Amino acid sequence: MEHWLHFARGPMFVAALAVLGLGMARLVLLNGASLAVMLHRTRSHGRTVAWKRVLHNTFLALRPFPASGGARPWYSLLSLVFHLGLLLTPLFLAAHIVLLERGFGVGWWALDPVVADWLTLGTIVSALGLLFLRVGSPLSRAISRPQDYFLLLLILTPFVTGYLAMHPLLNPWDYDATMLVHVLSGNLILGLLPFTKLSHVALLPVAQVFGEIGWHLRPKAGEFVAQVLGKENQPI
Amino acid sequence: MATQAKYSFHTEPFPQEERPRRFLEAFAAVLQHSNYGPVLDYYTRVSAKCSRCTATCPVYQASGDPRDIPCHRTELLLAVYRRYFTFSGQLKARLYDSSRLTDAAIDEMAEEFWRCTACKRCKSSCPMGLDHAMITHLARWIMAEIGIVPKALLVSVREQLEGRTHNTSAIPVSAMTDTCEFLEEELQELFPGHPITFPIDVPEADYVFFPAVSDYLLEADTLMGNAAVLYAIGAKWTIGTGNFDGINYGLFYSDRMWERIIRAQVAEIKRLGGKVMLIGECGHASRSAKEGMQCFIPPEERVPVLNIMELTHAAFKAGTLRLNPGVIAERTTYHDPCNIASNGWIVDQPRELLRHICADFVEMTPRGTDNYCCGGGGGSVSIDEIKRFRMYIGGKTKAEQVRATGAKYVVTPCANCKKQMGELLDEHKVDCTRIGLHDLLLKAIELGPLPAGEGTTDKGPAEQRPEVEGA
Repeated sequence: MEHWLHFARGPMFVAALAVLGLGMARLVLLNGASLAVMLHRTRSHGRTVAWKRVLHNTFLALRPFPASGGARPWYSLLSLVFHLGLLLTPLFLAAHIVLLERGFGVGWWALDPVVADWLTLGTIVSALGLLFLRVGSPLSRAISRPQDYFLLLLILTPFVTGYLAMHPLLNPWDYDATMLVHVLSGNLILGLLPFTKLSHVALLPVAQVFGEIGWHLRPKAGEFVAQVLGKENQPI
Repeated sequence: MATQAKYSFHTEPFPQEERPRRFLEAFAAVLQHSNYGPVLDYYTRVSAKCSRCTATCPVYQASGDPRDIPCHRTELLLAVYRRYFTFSGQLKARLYDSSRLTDAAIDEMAEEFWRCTACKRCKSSCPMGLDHAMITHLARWIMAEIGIVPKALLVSVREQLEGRTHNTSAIPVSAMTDTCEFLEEELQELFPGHPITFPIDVPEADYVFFPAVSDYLLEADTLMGNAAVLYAIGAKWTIGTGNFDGINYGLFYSDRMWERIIRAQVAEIKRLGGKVMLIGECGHASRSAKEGMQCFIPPEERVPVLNIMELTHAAFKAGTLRLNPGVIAERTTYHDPCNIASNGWIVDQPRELLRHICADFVEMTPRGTDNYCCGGGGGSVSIDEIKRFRMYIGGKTKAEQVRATGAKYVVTPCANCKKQMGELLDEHKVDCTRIGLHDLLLKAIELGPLPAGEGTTDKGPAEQRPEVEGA
């Protein structure tokens, strides 16, 4: 068991990080290239991008509680707590930083353990809440795909096992086994980040740029489409 | 071949063979020549299916039908994109044949994408920033290329681009000019001595006027208000006989048609040597002109696009337009047309005018950029066969909003919204009249002393051209 744990925390973690890094770099490059091409097209047509509006919309979209009101307040609240825990706990947990210092020689400021505990609990409760809202509401069920459930359960796993590992009295299972599940699920999340909707970690900041430039329709696009479809001389 | 009763809207007969193949061909052609590809690529990756858009979609709120969830609707097209135009989709299809595009899926899209009123409210509530209205816009174009398009819109565009009258209502030039002459006589009675005219084909005018052409048939007071304001501020304006229709249904179903229509409109402005494209009280005409001008017209041929409410407001602020305060005693409220309000373009300007001329101006909640659609947006108002949908699903919330204000007038500065709002207030028995902004301004306008050499000059009392932001 210890060997497995060592492997999961060591080479496997590095591999997961590599997949994460390369996968995200690929996404950023691909989307960056798309945006560059679109920007070039738009500029060569003598158009400017309303960057101020894009920035404004970006911040508007980040508000956890949109002003238009009633935007599923429970969902919004749970999502906010969920994301806070999801971002802060893995990055700033003292135990993680110790491991990083040991492995890579880098470290940074750590969360107070009590705060980390509460954040973890918050994430678990909010993840369960989000799951409940998804399963419990017919409208959410109607549009959910398997990955929407799977990812939520996957994210829940390292938080539950992490909490149990930190509180041995509550843990019904063997410490090493708990830890192995914790590390494996964590690695899996890192590896899946670039290939699932979790990629919004890196892509979200440019959402509004796509929304803006997408409406910069290309001149003569219609003519070309008509040509391709062989209907350039057809009456309407 | 024929499919008259297949969808809730009428279409012309279109070929039924190999629809999925033809849909994909059209999709591929559009992706190749447009900017939509990268956007779809992005949206397919991040779409979270959180259903928060349900909290803002008026159609879903009224119908409670899961197929009206914006994200569900968007997924119909994203699924096709993912399956046929992404590497992972093609790989999956090779490993196990997944979700091949079927006739049934196309029928589902045809029905659902035409249930969206394109009000763009959902955009503000999507945490991933998906613009569902853009996807609706794109999907309708692709479907239009294989023949799935409401007949009402198609027939109008055909008349506008290929018909003899070049306008969607098929109004002959002589009928338009007769209407204008008649309205000039009416204005003579309202403002004796003031030579308020509808200048026709005047070369080198500052403003070439494009109202929704239906105004010539239905909205005499709006047009008279427009003319009175333009006279009062001394604007040099004209109506072109070559093309006098601001309507552009391309915005609702096809970028190809959008481009052809805006090009025809700009050609008319060039023929007359006009300087500014002035749009009447119409939301979609304003947006399709303003965005279309930037998208489809080369920089050297572009002219500024103004909605007449902007011009009126600027003149009022500059003091060249005098309006009597508090003339409208009845309680009045204002409906924001989505196409000019949801992007924050025209929200405060008409309100400032209304607060001045109305003794009792009240607001609906929510309003402005968060407004509720009248229920006839996205071209649906022209489709008579879906009136029930417009009345009891699309427009249900709006009717209740208007009722709650207790207003006698609801100012509705948009040709689409006007038609829908009129039917809506009747259907829901709301004791309120829908009216144009300039209909009310006509009652409040103060023209001052008669011009010197009365009747011989076409100059109004003020010479200055008001400065308008963004013109």
